Parts: sequence; structure tokens; C-alpha cells
Amino acid sequence: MRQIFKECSIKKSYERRREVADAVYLAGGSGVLALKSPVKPDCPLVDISALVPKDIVKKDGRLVIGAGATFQDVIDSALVPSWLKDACHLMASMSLRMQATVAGNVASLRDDSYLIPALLAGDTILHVYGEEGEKDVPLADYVHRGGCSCIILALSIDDGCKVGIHRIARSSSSHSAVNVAVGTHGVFACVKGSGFAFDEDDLGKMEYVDDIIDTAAYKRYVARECVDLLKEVDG
Amino acid sequence: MITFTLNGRKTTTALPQDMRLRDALYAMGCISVRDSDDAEGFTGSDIVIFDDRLRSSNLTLLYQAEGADIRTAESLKRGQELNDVQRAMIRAGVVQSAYNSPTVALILTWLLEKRPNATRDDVREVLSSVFIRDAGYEHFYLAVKLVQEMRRYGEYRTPVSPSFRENLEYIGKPMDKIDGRALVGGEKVFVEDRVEEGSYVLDILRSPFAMAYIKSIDTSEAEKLEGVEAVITYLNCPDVYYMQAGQGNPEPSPYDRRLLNRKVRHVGDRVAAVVAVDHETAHRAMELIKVEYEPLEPVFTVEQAMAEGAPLVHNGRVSYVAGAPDDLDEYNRTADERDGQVIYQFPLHGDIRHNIAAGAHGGIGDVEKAFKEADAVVEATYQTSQVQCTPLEPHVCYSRMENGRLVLHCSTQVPYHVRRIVAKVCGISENKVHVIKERVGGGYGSKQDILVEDLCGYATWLTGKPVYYRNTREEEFIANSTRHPMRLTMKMSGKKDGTITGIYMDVRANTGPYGNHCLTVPMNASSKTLPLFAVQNMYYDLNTYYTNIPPTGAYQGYGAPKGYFAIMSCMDELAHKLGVDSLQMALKNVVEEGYMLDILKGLGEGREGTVVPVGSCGVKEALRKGAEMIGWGRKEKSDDPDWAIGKGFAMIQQGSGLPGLDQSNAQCKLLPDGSFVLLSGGADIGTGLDTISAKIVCEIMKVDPSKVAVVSGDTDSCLFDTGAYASSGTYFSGNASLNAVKDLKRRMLEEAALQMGQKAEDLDLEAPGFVVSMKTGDRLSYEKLSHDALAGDGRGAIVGTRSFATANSAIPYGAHFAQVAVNRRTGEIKVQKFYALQDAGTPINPEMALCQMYGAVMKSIGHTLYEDMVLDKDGRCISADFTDYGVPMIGEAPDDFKAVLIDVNDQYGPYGAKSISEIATNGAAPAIANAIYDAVGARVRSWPITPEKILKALGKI
Ligand SMILES: Cc1cc2nc3c(=O)[nH]c(=O)nc-3n(C[C@H](O)[C@H](O)[C@H](O)COP(=O)(O)OP(=O)(O)OC[C@H]3O[C@@H](n4cnc5c(N)ncnc54)[C@H](O)[C@@H]3O)c2cc1C
Ligand code: FES
Repeated sequence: MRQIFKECSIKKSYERRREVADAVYLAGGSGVLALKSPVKPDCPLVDISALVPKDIVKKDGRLVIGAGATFQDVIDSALVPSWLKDACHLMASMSLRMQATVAGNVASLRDDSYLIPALLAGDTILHVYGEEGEKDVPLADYVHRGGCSCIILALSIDDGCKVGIHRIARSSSSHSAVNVAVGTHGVFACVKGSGFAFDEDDLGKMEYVDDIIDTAAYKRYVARECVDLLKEVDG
Repeated sequence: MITFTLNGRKTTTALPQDMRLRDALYAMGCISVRDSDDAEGFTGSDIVIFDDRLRSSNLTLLYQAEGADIRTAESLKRGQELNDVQRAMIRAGVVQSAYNSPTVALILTWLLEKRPNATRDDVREVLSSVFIRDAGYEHFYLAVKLVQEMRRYGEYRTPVSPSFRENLEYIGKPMDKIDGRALVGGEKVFVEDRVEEGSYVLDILRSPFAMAYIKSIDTSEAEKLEGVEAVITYLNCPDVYYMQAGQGNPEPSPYDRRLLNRKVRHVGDRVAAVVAVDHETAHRAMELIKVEYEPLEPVFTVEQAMAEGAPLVHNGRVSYVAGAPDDLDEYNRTADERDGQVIYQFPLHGDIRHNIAAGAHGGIGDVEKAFKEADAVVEATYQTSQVQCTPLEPHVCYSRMENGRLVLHCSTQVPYHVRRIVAKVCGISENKVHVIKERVGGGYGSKQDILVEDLCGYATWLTGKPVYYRNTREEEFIANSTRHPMRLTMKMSGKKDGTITGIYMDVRANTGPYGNHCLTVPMNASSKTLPLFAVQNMYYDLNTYYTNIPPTGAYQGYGAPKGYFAIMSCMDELAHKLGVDSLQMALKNVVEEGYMLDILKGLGEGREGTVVPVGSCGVKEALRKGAEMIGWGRKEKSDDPDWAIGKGFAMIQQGSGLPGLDQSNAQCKLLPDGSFVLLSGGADIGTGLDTISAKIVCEIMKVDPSKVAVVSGDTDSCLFDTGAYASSGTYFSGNASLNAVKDLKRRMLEEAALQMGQKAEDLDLEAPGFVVSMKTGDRLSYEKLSHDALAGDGRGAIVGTRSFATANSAIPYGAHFAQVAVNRRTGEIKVQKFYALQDAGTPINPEMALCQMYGAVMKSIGHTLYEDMVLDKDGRCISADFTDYGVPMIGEAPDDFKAVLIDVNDQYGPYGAKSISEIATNGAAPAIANAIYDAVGARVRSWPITPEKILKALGKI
């Protein structure tokens, strides 16, 4: 039988995960429990779904999204700018959107991430719980570092900035080849098989790889083209 | 213990808390919660309403349900009464193979609770989570509209389809599908619902190599394991050669396999089969099986298979049941006994020592001369890919013993071929096998192939145990039949005035490891395309090669979608080269009623074909109407300079069954109370065949549908039928039902004549169930008629029995038009408009016919733009799930999507009907490819047409 832990606090959850080898947090479960999850089927789970905040509020001039808010919660909120709703819509399936959390998507650090490029372009700061208690970490640092064992509690976003997104995928439900966001805070992207780019320079220097859907040459070309397209729209 | 509210009732369960909620709900009796993707989270067959939100129950563990409020489709019915959404879905014609129909009904019910005035966008949003392969998405919008109308006005106001044949009451009119209530209501109708507690499982150890000999296999440890009932390998399986194609006997496919073979021929081929008490035990047993392989160099493409000295996929002894060549002994001199045998029922022009499984060639006129004398000649090669049927219900079988007989619950298109093959494999007579075709949760051709019933049935026969087998989704990709990849080289010539003077097709098909449909699928690429052209010089060469890709077989459209991609793309190229409008070229060179089809002579299925004239034919009307609808010749301009818009079309045809080869039988009984049961050998695979039979009874007997029951596809109670393939259902099984009901009418009138003391010719039938004398006005109710016939002094039960076989063809025609937008910079493609116009003769179930067209077009948009089975260098399929493989969802549906039925009455079909759905897979690939060329000038000649290929054709990468 799989081990499942439901602790009474974030602190205890964090400690439990550190203490149990291979344990992972469970939020929406749309990543962890899916067939192709990197998480093995018998891997212990620390269920944080009832503990992380879910509300979406404005605070100190920024938009704050609770880690447990789902993609659909974000779409349904009147406070959220359209570019972020569009990013959430990249997850085509409504039932997945009702299950998958924003923080779960960030923590998954997928190279076909729906949200990370847009959130980076929105100058997102993560509010996390870790070794030293609660603290703020820029999303860019979190992604650079390849994540960590902290629990993401909330995301603080510059909702006043302008962001344009363009995702290249074969179909609405396919994984993306590239997902690009361009905005006031710069150019960001994730590229299948290659990872994240934090500026245009990264995108140029990135090592592109062939995968089962697209070739490296195509991804390189189209990533560049997406940036240009978005810049043109932005004027 | 986990406690939650399930469909309004507080429920407590002791099932393991880490169990998937889907499995728990199914175990708790919520059988509408299905699993189509092994928890990939893609298809949505497992969606429930969880605390008022949609949620995948497969991606949820049971413990998470603690305290939750969960609703499944079981909540929708009140007693026997379906809810209004379920009723509207049936009315709209979307309840077809219906594996996930109850779930979709649940989702739409939930939507309409939240938004009673739900818009098209709202419906699109909620259906984003469900994969619908059979009916497409279009009529789901209509179903929601119908619910809204019923709630507002107390009636449906939008017609679900046009009606045909004024003089008939049921035929050609929309009518609720007779099995619709069971399907959308979530009743126990699928194979998995029949599996009894305590049944055994069958699991298969599969080959990790694309080609290898099994040097040794040791199953002793596995056999010793507690709970293992049997381990079957090539060493102990019956030494019986057969093939799995599920075709009529004698088959035009070689018998090139046994249940398990010493040589494995694809990654995923059977190595050993384990019968055990549960999957855990079976998997442990598989780990204990020690196999030593001698890997061989594999071949994957036609080019590799054709190469001089290429490794041979089959190098066993060849024999022929009839027509063996004289030099057979010499031919077999180099045979390797480890390869087993290849037995041809009759010559298919195969040459396995060159990897050729089958071949054919033929034609009319002189193509070389035509090419020499032409104003322009185009020569090009088109490549189609390996495409998966992806039925929502995977291949399953449940077999058990009953009184010394083997009973198989199957999801099959060919119950009688299953009976024959399983009896053959088990070495028993056919009376020992009872096949029950359950409702089929999607087949699309792949359930013509007998891919699991052979082994599952044998496992039960061997062990005496009830055995359940179900392919995992990965197994569906690696060990299920697929479209044969084909390389088609076309040469077409024409004159400046647009006359096509010559067509040559060189078809090289890849049949993979076994020869299922190896002649007939590729044949179809020519035999369903060339007869559409009124061209004097046409020739085709065909060779099918064995390789080591995953197996191929039948898929809706058979070889025709590939042939049409090549021939209609090539015609477009020729039109451009000659500077003529391609629509005018089509109209100028297409056949019409009465045109003598000389080309058919060389296009029989391994035998000489019969030359007949074109029968009823709506192709020109489809072309003209489609052109008008799409604004052919008008260049559309996009607001965004990066996007270019183009238009394309394809004219198409198919067949209706296999005249001269197929046969169907039916029986219709008058019951004691004057109601009817029709027994049809035909296999309704969700397409509404049973409803066709019911309508025929209603029409002739002048009773309403509540007086008719249809039993079909049960080999014990129904008479023989070749099965549901080659678009045979309506034409063959429908005509058999028609003949049987006419026979019953004759017998009823004869009996009534005796009972009424009148002449049979003075009697007729009258609604709602009377025999009436046209002379005297006397009436006799069916009830009294039947009762007296069955009385102690009666003359016995009144039953009509008839068969249908024919040499006549009823060919459906059509034209498909596409408008696409292509992004010049990124290569992205959007199908903006798609109009499918088809002549199905009299569409007996018009609303279901439209849904089949929508579904088939979506499938073909899939293979044109998205779907791709990718193999790695070792032959392993690395896109073996829905996401990576890339099936189209609602997001891929054209913005403006219309299916139009062209009204033509056929001379041979039942009430003038022809087939409807296979043909609808033929148009999208060429129509879209031609539209892309029209938009940006990029000619892509291979599937799938991806943005990358477009950019390459434009020289951008
Ligand atoms: C068919 C299918 C296709 C998909 N395609 C894509 C895709 O193309 N792109 C994409 O980005 N995603 C994709 N996903 C993955 C997934 O649905 C999303 O990434 C989702 O956002 C994960 O959120 P969740 O709440 O369900 O996370 P969970 O499944 O609960 O967790 C995912 C990971 O995040 C961690 N985590 C969750 N919450 C927190 C937290 N608060 N703090 C720290 N760590 C946390 C977990 O430990 C786990 O490692 C797909 C999923 C499915 C089923
Ligand atoms: S964010 Fe977790 S250690 Fe810094």
C-alpha cells in the first residue's frame, strides 16, 4: 500500500517530505498521478492540497495567487490579467484545469510548461516555505536552480505589465515544442528537450534537440519567429 | 474506511485508500466511469463531478474522496427515465459506439445546471476534456440546443437532419437509436461489464526486439508460482497456422502465424501468455520467464524491405491451399524451419523470400502512350504514415466455459469469423464456440482483426477457467492493427483542355510483421480511386512488403484514404501544371451514371473483377454544391498578413460491402402478442445497424419501434453474416433484414389468408398492426394471427428468414472541401472550414449518418495533420499514448464544419441506401494538402502535414 501523509500544517508537511525518502507533495495530482508521471506509482505522497492557500487577491499593487488555486480558478477570477488567463487556457482540457494547480505547474518545471514563461514575464515572485521558514524567491531563481524541496505557498505577479504569449504545439492537447512569453520584463521561453530561456540571448545559444515530434532546426527557427511575432504585436 | 457522498447518498467503502478513484467507483457499481487511457488523463472517459467541478477520477486516489460530493452518470436517470440531456444526445445522433457517452451526458448536464443558456463556446469548453472518435463533436452542440429548446418550448425545434423519402414513415427520418438508451444510460453493455468475480486474467510477455528468434524459453519458475494457471509459449501452443485479419473464408491474406511463434517479428509481439488469478501474479510470473533471444537485423520501411539481400521477415515454408506454383519445392529449399510456415489460400503474387507478402497489377488502355502524347505529365511520390484507430474501448475479450462449450464475450466487428478462427485454433468444431458480440466501444476497423479473441479463447479452452483480457493503451499502440504505411508513386498526364489522359499508380505498402489485409488494403488504394475517373488509360502496380513495424490491418476507409491523398493531390498538381482549374478538371474527368467501369476487371480482391456500369452517382452534384458553399475560385484575404488562406477539395468514392464475397442473413419472428424480434447476423458496432433493421420492420409491418426488438451478432441465436467491414452493414446486413421481413410479411399474409378465409393477394398490412382485406375490409390483428398460428391446432410459428448476397455494387460518392489558414512564418495550420458532401443513397438514419461523417472527417483530419506513430531505431513505438501520438480533440475541429447528404436513390441498396462512413475518411488529406498549396504554395506529400514540413517546403528551414 502506498504511503500517504496528510499533515496538519505546512511546517509538518515540509518536515515529513524531508524525512521520507522519495516522498513528493501532492496538490492537484494531475501531474503526480498521471500515467507518464516521473513520480513512481508507489512513491510516498505528502498531501498538501488542504493546506496551501487558494485565494486570488490584490496585495501591495501586485496580484497574489495562492499556490492551491487551479488553472480554472485563475481563469474565473476577475482580478487576473488576460495574458495570464490565456496562459492557463494553454492547458486545453477543462477538467485538468479544474484539477491542476498553478504551483504544481511551476514546481513541475517542465520544459513544455504552460505557465512558467508567462509567469517569468510577469516578474513572478514565489512565496515559499523552506528550511528557514517562509520567504520570497524570484521565480527566475527558482527555475534557474531547478526547484527545491520548499513548498510554494503563493505567487506574486506584476499584473500591470504587458505580456504576449505564443505556444507552438502540433495540436491543442500536444506538448509544446516551444512556449514563448515576451513582455515588459523581457523575453522568456521553454523549449522541449532544452529547458528554459531567460532572454533572447539564451534562446539563441540554447542547445536544441530533435524529439519525437519536432526537429531541433524547427524549434530553433520557430522560437526566434515567435519572439519576433510577439515583439511586432507589442509594437 | 472512506466516506463520501456518491450520487446523493452517503457511502462508505473499505476499498484500499490508495486505489484510483476510477477503479473504486467502477467496483462500487458506477460502471459508467470508464478508463480509456490507463490514467494518462487525456480521454476523459473517467471524468466525474467532484465537489461540483469536473475531475479525472483516474488522477484521483480514493482517500481524496473523503467527505467529497461525487456524481457519476448513474445519477442522471430517474428509475428507467433518462434525463433530458441523455434523450437529446440520442436524438442528435451522437450516441454511437458510446463508450464515454454517459460521461459526456454527465458533463453536459452539469454545464446546463450552471449555465442554462450555455453557448457554443461553453459547450466547446467542457468538451475540451473528452476525446470523441466516433461521432465528431458537431452534433453535441446540437444536443445542448435541443435540451434548451425542450426546456423553453416543450419541444425540439431544430431539425437534427433533413428527412428523405416522403412516402416512407421511418426510413430516411431521424429516429432514436434503438440501443441508445442502454448506451447513454450507462447500462452493462460492454465486455468488461460481463466479467465475473473470480475470473482469471491473461497477460502477455512481449518481445523487446523488432525481430529475433527465441533461442530458449524457460517457464518452469513462472508455472510454479502460486496463482498461475498456465503459461503458453510457442513450444506448447497449438501447431495451427491462421491469420488474424477477420476476413471471409478463404481469406486473401496468408496464414503466416500461430498463436505464438518461435520468431518474434515486432517489438510487442507475443512471447508468452500467462493465465493467473490476478495481474500482480501474472506480472510476477512474467518476470520469472527466462527467454534467450537471437536478435536479427530488422527492416522497417518499404525501401529497406525491398533492398537486395534485405533480412527476411518470413522465411518459412510456403504452401498453397489452391494454385501452388510448380517450382514450390525449389522455392522452399532455403526455408528456415524456425520461421514456421506461410500458407496462401490462393496465390496473392507474394514472394516472401523478397519480403513481398502480396502483389497485384492491372489496368486498361496504354498509359505509356498517353504519357508520351500528353501536354503535361506530373510524377510524384506520396507517403502515408502508420495510423492508429484508437478506439476508446481497447481490444478486450472475456471467455468462459459453459456446459463444455467455449463462450466468448467480444468487442468485435466479425462474430462469425471469430467463431471460425477460435474453433480452428482450439481444434474444435464451431458448435463448441458461442460468440456474443457485446456493444463495441469503438472499432473503426481494428476490431475486424481478431487480435485478442484467439489467445483469450484458447486460454479458457486450455484451462477451463473464465479469462479476461484487455489491452493496455500502450498495447493498443504496439500490438493492434493500424493503417498500412504506403508509398504511392503517381504519374498523371493531361491535355491543355483539362482532359486527363493517363494515370499510373505504383503502390508500395508496408504490412509489418504479418500479412493481415496485405493484398486488400493496398488494392483499395487503386480499386476505390481509379474507378472514379473516366480515363481511358490507367494502370497500377502493387507490392506489399513485410517489415518489423507494429502490426497493420483494417482502419475505416481501408486503403482508400491513402489512394485519395495521392491521386487527388496529383490531379491538383497536374491542373496547376496545365493551368486549368482543378475543380473543372474533376468535373471533366469524373464518371457519371452509366459509365462502363472497364477498370474493374483488374481490381478484384485477388480474383478477376466484374465490369459493371456506374450506378447511382451523386459526385457531380457534391462537387458543384461544395464549390458553391466554399466559394470556389474566390480568394479569401486574411486580416493578418502572416496568415494566408487557401482552398482545396477532393472527390471521393468507396464501396458498400464486397459483392460476390459477402453474405448476410437475418430472421424475423412474429411473437405471440403481435410484436417482433429481428435476429440479424450483422454486427452493429455503434453505427446504428440495429436501428436500420428495426426501421425496416416498422416500415413493412407498419408498427411503431416499441413493437420491435433486434438481437444481433450472437452466433448462437443469429444466422451467419460476414461482418461489419468494407462498409457492408447497411447494404448487406440491411438488405438481409429487408429480405427476411419481406419473407415474414409473405408468410403472415399466407397464414392470415387461411385464418380469414381470403386470398393472400387481397390482403395487406395496416398500422398499428393489422392484416386487412382490401376486398372486404375485414381486419385481423397481428396478436390474433400469431396466437392462432401458435395454438394447439395452429400451423406453427411465423418466421421470415432470408439471406442477401449480390454481384451488384452500391457505390457511395462525395466531395470534401477544405479552407485552411497557414501561418507563413511559423507554419501553423488551422482548418477554418470543412464541408463534407456525400451521396449515401437513401440515408436510412440521417442524423446518425451526419455524425458518422463528422467523426470520420475528424479522424482523417487527424491523420492528415497530427497523428503519428513514431518508432525509434530499434522499432519501439515511442509515441504510444494519446498525447504523444496526437489525436485531434475539439480544439482541432474546423470552425465551420458541415456535413451534407446528397439525395440520390440507389437501385440495389435497401430502400436505395448505400454506405456512409468509410468514404468520409477519404477526402480530408488531399483537400487539406491542396488547400495548403493554394494558401502558401507549399506542396507537402507526406502525412502528417506538419508546420515543420510546410516551412521546409517554403525553404525557410
Ligand atoms: C494529459 C496531460 C498532459 C499534460 N501536459 C502538460 C504540458 O504540456 N505542460 C505542462 O506544464 N504540464 C502538463 N501536464 C502536467 C500537469 O497537469 C501540470 O503541470 C499541473 O499544473 C500540475 O499541477 P498539480 O496541482 O496537478 O500538481 P501535482 O500533480 O499535485 O504535483 C506536480 C508536482 O508539483 C509538486 N508540487 C505541487 N504543489 C506544490 C507546491 N505548492 N509546492 C511545491 N511543490 C509542489 C509536486 O510535488 C509534484 O512534483 C499534463 C498533464 C496531463 C494529465
Ligand atoms: S526556494 Fe526552496 S531553497 Fe530557495
